Amino acid sequence: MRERALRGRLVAGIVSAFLACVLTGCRLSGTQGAWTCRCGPVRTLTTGEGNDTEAVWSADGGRIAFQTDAKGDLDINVLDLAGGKRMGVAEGPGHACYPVWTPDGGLVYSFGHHPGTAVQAARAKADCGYGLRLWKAGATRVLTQGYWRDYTPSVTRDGGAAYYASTRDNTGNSASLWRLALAPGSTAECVLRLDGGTVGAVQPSLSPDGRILLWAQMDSFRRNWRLCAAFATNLSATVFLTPDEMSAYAPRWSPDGRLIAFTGFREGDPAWGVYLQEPRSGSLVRLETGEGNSRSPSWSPDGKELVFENNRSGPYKLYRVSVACRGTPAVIPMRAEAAVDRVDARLEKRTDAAVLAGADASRVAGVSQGKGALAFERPGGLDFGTNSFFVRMTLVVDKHEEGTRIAAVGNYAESALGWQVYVRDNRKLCFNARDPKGQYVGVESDLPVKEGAPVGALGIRDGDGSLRLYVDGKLQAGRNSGATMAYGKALKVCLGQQWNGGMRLNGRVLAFECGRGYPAGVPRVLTRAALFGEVGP
Amino acid sequence: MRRLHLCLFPLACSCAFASGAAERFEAAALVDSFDFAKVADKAGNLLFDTETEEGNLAVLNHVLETGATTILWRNCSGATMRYQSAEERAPRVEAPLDKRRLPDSRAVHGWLRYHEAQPDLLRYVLGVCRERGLGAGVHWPFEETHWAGWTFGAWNFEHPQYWGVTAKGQVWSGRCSLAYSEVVEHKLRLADELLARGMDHLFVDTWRTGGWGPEYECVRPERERWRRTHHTEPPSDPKDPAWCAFVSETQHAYFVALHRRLNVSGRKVRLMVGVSDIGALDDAPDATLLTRGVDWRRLVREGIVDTVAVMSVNWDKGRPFESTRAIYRGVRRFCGNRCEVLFPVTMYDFTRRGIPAYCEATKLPAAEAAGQLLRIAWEEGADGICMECVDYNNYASATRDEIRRMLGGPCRFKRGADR
Repeated sequence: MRERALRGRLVAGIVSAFLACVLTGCRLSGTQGAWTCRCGPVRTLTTGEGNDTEAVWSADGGRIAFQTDAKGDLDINVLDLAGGKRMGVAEGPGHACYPVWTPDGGLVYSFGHHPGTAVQAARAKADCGYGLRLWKAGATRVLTQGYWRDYTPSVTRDGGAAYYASTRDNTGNSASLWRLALAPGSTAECVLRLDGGTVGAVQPSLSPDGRILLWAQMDSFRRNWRLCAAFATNLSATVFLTPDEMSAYAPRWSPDGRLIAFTGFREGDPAWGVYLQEPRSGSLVRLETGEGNSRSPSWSPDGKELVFENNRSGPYKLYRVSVACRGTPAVIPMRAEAAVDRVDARLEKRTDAAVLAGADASRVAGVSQGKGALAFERPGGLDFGTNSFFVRMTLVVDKHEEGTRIAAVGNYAESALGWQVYVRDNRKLCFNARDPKGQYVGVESDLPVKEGAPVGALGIRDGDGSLRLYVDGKLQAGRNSGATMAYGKALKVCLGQQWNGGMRLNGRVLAFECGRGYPAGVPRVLTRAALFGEVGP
Repeated sequence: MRRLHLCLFPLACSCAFASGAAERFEAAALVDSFDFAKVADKAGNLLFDTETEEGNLAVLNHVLETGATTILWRNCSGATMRYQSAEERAPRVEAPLDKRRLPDSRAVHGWLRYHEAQPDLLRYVLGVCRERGLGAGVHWPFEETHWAGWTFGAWNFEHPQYWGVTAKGQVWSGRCSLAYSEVVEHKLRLADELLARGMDHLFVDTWRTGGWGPEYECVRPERERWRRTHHTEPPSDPKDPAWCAFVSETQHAYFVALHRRLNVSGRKVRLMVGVSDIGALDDAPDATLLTRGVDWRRLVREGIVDTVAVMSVNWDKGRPFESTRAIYRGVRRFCGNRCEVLFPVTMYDFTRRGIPAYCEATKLPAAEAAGQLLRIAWEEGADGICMECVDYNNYASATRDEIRRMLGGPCRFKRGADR
């Protein structure tokens, strides 16, 4: 009898172990070195009607806050893990969403309520935005509110401030990053301005040591969400942590700052999945959490578990899984960046002639195209390959005219409009380069160019294919990426007109230079090693 | 030549009137309520509350000033769905409630929620059109929604496993691939939703693809099908005509399925396909095939579509109307009696081939250029015209008057000859 019971337990144990291996686990990808991650069985946290999403673990580990649409609008609920009781925190009309705990047990969340139509709200000048609120011990304080959306907040480890995404002061389909000290009377400040068409940063969070800000960023409509990080003191120099081939968003630091959990999808994945990244190396792991989409992971305060949402049962419900990673991942190398910074062609103007002077001592005489436009045939040194390069110029728009007006263009065999600096119909200054298929990738200035005044433009194609535009020394809010075309020898450079004539600038080019690398005073693209340091044990 | 047309025109008109079997010359208008939402008068008062019945009625009244006889309402794009779609509601679709969707910061536009409006707006406007004896139709872009992460459908975001993939292995949420049967079924369920709301005409717009093209069809089922068919790896150049033609077979199968779905709906529902960049119809693969992966000529040959709506033609700037006429004639001849043909009389000028471009080339005012194009379409035996993006006042008052005058008079009925 006892033997049979033992045999039964053994079989049950083997079956359980088998199921645990099949249903859960981790799929390693890329070069992981000696790094291994293991996860335990997935356990259900919530059931019933509605979608339960955006879960976050309290600092004491005893509660999980989340948003639920069980009653229609989104409400904030808190689940007590010991007793299994749910408590409504922010309920009623309107959407209360994206909760995040403060260290002392408060909740910051986003709230919006607009029952009428958009036009009715505009006519009545009614508030129909999404603002941040702080709930604490049953009392709620409005932190921000206006005709914009503040969302996906995080709270710093010391509880002193919240970082969040916001459309405040934005004009396009975009979102910037803002910071607000949580002390009463504090003023919000924009820490990373991203604006324009389809560019945005969402769900920022500060690393536990307060050094690095992490968020998800989208650069243009052809690109995927990617994780991005930068020193919190300088968000203009950033590193993309996830590959362009992948869609990645909703990042969360592990409590010790050694790992990032996020929602990701790569070709071949069955659905959205929970990924882990070791940021110093770039190594990735996908947790096998069973059927359905698994999203929005958040760490337990001891860093041993994750809570996430999954829709295997129909609506999204919350689940938890233990996870442990050991070892040292091998570093996935980033693309090597050329170390050379050099002006390869500079315009020299005399009263009777214009010359493009090369770094190789070559001199290409400009051929006048009339009305101040110049063409330089086959200038040397502009074969940038896939490395970083820059185009810097000073121009004056005497009078805006309809249509696109070209200030400078580099004509290549790979693309006739390889790179350009130009003024668009909307009078904004633009810089563009190309992707490997020759498709346009561009950024534009924040404001229109003034007539009659010199304006300095500096366009940079970073080695990772990102584009930056500085106007009169100021980094503009537009971003783009994927401009990784390999540039061979330039066929022609034209100033003040398109490469084949036309699109003439009604103005003057006062100065022009372009070259590889970066001009003095402009930050190089940040590397993972520079941001995170060497891979530790 | 022009004199000959002037003589022929009234003669043909009188013939048409005399014929008891004369069919009405169609004027199809593509309408997007979204584009009216921010229209304001000089004092800044917003004129169209397009989340209400009244607002959409006002939109319709404005559109009817063109003399339009068929109204093709946009079902999606620009924001979220234009009706209470069960298929595209999982679980929250608008920004910022789905954080993957970047919010539209523009006043009014960014706060529109057509998908939640009461009553169901698409059901309402289609009903009004039917009551008024107008063609009640839907303008359905071939894309998911309309450019970029701020408008992608909820179903798309929920099913990344069906997203397009480039040869480089880059997934992209721009559109789910029709190579997956689950995606086709999803599309057909969307068509069911439109049918349930009273749609009689479905206009699938292959111009609007949201940046999608055959290059994003390097998905597993297509790669495997290529290997089975050709016993080689797929071409490395995604613009390879062979690859585009290959991809078009999958898009074609979707159109066949859609056609079948409309046919079993219990009533006659017309399937229209909008094509652009049309030039001389020689043996070369056309732009729609290469850039959209849709072989519209095959759709015509096999009787899959009831109507071809030409949205733009590559006319010669040196001979604007003459070259336009030649292209129209070629299309009309190709389509023959196999399907109806609509030709563009469009102020939409993104392609630099619309009425503004004709005005620039001919120095004619817009009303006159529109009249000329309408007349050419009629004379070349078209079944009607297609007016793309009838937004607020983009067809100026004089242009609307001229189009309406011709549609009510000399071009009221199809010419019918030479069909």
